[in-house]
Amino acid sequence: MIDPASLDLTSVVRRSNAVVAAELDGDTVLYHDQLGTVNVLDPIATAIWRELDGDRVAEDIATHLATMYDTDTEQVGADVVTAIRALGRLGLLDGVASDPATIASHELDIPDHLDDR
Amino acid sequence: MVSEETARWAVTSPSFDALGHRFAIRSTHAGIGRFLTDAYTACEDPDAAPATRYDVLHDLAGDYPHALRIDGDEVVRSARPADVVGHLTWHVNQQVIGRGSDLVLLHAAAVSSDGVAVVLPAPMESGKSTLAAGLVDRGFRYLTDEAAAIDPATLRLRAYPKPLSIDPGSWEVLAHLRPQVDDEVARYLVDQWQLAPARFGLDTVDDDVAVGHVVFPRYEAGAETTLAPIPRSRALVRMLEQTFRFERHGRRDFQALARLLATARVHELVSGDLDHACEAVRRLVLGSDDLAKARR
Repeated sequence: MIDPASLDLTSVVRRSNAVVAAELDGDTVLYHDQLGTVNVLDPIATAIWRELDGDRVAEDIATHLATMYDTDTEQVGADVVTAIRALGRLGLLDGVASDPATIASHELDIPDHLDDR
Repeated sequence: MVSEETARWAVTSPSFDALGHRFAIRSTHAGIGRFLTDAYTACEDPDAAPATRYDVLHDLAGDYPHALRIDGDEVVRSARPADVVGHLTWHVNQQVIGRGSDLVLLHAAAVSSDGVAVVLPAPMESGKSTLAAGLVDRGFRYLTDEAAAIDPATLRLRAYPKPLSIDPGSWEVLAHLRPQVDDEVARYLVDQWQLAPARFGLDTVDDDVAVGHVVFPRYEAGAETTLAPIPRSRALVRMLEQTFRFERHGRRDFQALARLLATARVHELVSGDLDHACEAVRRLVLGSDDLAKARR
């Protein structure tokens, strides 16, 4: 498993198959059905998440997004690296080691009485 | 006194079917037997063979004369008749929620107007039953005050029209709906009123309705009434947190609720006043243009 801190612009990462996603008004809600976590991505993180198909290095994704949004490639590259490290710690990327403390803080908070029935 | 062996049933209810939980109620006391039969009348289904039988025994010998038996097993024996009704209604809820595996079940009240449902998801003690009662009292139709059942294929809401369970904190504001019962039956209701949907008038219950609105209600004593849109992403997380047995069908329920929210209008309602809260929901559902026309 790859340490998320080691991810950089040369990394190739892919969304976990255990994650189901829903885009709503530009945000994306991610549910990991094995970890029981839920995360909400803002529109920038959503744009990055869409590109994580495991086919391209992060630098190519940054170049693609910078062109699409007509903005600075270097800044987008920094955003992509920050995003994939965070997504990795959350257990949302294949082959990247998750961080248990980070995951715990995103577990769905369902009251016991709704689960006990 | 009625001995346990020779109980004679003063009332035997028809069969009820609540989202697949088929049951009937018998009572040795005519008053509470009729009351409970009326309370669940909206769930009546003459074709349903009862799988569960609730027996309410009123006047057994000894210090604990009140009992509830479920399929012959005594599950409550108490000096307080309210314990019997409390356990019966709780058990029915449990069975409904335990059985509805083909439905997404939200901890929510739901009402409808002109064939459009308003779902009111909220944690316990948020005032959702009181708000549902207030809305039905103002002409909305009733779907449930406990479990909003959504078909994941069609996203339509199916009714679980149990009696509305109203806690003492709301009795004053709903005083005109106080159950009209004699003193003996009233002892069964000292912890919680159980209001039959028919208490609000004929044709009160709706079923199989499209969801147009999701409103997250929160009662706050003394609060000004505010009804504000919230992001759908945040609404989805809050709905997941109010989904019964979410982990059993997590992926299916997530996808269904996301699809539902893609088209529903989503708001948060904070209020310390039932009249104002109901008016805010009425305006939302009717729409300001339609409301203006209705007033002309």
